[in-house]
Amino acid sequence: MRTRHLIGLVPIALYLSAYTLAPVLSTFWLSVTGSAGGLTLEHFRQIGGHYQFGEAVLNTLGITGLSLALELGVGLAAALALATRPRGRAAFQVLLLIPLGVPTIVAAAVMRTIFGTVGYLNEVLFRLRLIEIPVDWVGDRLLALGAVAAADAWKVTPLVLLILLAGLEAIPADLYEAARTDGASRWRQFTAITLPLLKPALSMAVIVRGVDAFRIFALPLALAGHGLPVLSTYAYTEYLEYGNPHTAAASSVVLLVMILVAVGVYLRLAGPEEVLR
Amino acid sequence: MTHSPTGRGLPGLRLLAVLLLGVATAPAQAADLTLTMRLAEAEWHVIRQDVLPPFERACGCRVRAIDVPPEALTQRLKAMRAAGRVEIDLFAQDNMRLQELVDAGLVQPLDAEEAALDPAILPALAAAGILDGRRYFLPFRPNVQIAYYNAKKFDAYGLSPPRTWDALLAAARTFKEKEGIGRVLFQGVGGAPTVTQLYEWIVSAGGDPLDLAHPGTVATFRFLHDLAPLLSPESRRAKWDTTNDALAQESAYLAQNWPFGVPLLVRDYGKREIRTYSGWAGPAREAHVIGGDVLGLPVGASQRDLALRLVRHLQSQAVQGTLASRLGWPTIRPDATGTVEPWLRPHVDAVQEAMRHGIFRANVPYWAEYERIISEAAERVLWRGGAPEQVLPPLAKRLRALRESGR
Repeated sequence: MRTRHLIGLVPIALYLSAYTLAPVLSTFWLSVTGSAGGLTLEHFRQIGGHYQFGEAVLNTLGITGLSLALELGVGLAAALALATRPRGRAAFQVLLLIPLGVPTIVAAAVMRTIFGTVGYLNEVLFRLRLIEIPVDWVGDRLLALGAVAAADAWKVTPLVLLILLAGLEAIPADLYEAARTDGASRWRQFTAITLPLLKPALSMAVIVRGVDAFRIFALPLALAGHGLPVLSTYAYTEYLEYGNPHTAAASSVVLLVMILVAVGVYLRLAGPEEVLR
Repeated sequence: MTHSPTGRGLPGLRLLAVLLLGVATAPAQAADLTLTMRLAEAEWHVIRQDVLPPFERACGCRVRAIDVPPEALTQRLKAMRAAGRVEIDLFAQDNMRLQELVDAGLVQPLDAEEAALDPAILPALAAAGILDGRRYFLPFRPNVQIAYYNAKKFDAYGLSPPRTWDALLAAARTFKEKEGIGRVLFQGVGGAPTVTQLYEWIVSAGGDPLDLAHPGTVATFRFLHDLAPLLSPESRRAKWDTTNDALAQESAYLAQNWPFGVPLLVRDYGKREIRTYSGWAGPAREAHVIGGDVLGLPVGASQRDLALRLVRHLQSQAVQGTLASRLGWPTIRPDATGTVEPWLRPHVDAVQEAMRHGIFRANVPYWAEYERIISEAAERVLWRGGAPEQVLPPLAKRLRALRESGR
């Protein structure tokens, strides 16, 4: 019986081996083998000494932190508002979900029309007489981090909203009723009931979006070019522009390790049972 | 009756195996010939609508034309060779990315085609396909960057299109003073666009692009350092395609770019105020890199005769004329420019003038690494305010080591 169950798992095991495990192992292998063969850590030393690699690591962390904060903040606020079942909720939900259906590269093109020096944002600020000359939103590193995080949040906050809304609706209404009977304020209800019971959904949102934010690629590349390197664009440049698959693989391995560490730390802090249950 | 998941699973597995085998052994698409190039969308439109159909009708075959960036071609051919399945029959490749293909043994020698070359093809351009004393590539498309400027804006500020570095600096300063923001564009994104532009600037200054310690090269970076604060902010992201956006949206009034932007800007966007000319001279001379693509056949490709027939079609007077008239491309044969539409004529003249100052880049095997070094130099000098005297020496050392190793 047990053998039969195991045989049933063969297709998914084959699929995972071919399309997940093999590429990851092959990337790792590329990162530790020299051009002429043999094991080496030279590629890690090479990228570690490159002036843009450290920036790419910091930018990746910065964008991940900023976009997660934005997405969770806005997503939670929107989910709380929709959970009260206001009139027109269905229409709001549809409108809020539209960015999720927009391909990332299209979203990047749209964002360029907003954050470009001749973009809408500058036009609005100019008409409001808040600026006299256009602001280069992606010229300064901190501004660029903010612009990319905002663009990312615009696109994927609906996903966070959906996860959190499902979590909110799973909280039994009678808990709030009992709290109200005991005279609990709305804030007290939020901190004592909503947040603790929403923890599994929040954890799911943090992990799903966190991993995705670490891998961000098209938005920084399209909005800021090489002026705002992140690890994925660094790997892309190494591979495609400089024809070096080994250093590209090394930077991809660093990215993978960063993601694993971040998820591990989060699971340790939040408790794995909150995510895995 | 016992529930048996495997009782259903096994036929499922068999079906999966049949499907996988079916996919693995299915014949390739009905295409008879696969051609790769790197083109802008507007260019692909002309290739697919006007250039390939007559060939397909004549040979009774189908050409699958796909976009492959020049920097990806070598890796892709290596992967195909390793897999024992070379699916590209003919490729057009940037003339600066040829040595790596030859060194990796990825391209077929075409010495036998020497005699079959159409005599109408300019000999200087035909020579670009010979490496290490052998012909590996056949001419297809020469290219040269020209200067685009917004005539309305230049007129408004009483400026003429700059012909020298001093005039370029003065124009950049005027725009910055009048509008509070730079309007001269330098393709400073890094990689091939930056390196191409810098290469011709360095030669214009009498420098050696492969030597970062050469006084002319240092002078070029010094000029770039002075120009940097006056440049359009879009320069940091500017490459060949986004330069067109900057000109169209008027975030830049002056920029160098390949001629493919002319039909887009002038015909498609209706920006009649965009004019072109050959560009400016540096302290030593006027120089413009002759870029463009040559055609090659991968080792292991099975359709040699058909591919060579397509080469002759692409080199023909009719096709070269179509590419010139529809896209403003320079041609490999002088007899193909007579059909240019009148509105395009001044731009073609600008291209021909730039070609007169044409230079070929050195085809070195370490070009990818060279691009990395020059990109870093440009990034540090342009966008981090680094003084060339400090930035260049360590990079010059790295470049010298590369030259000496010959990698």
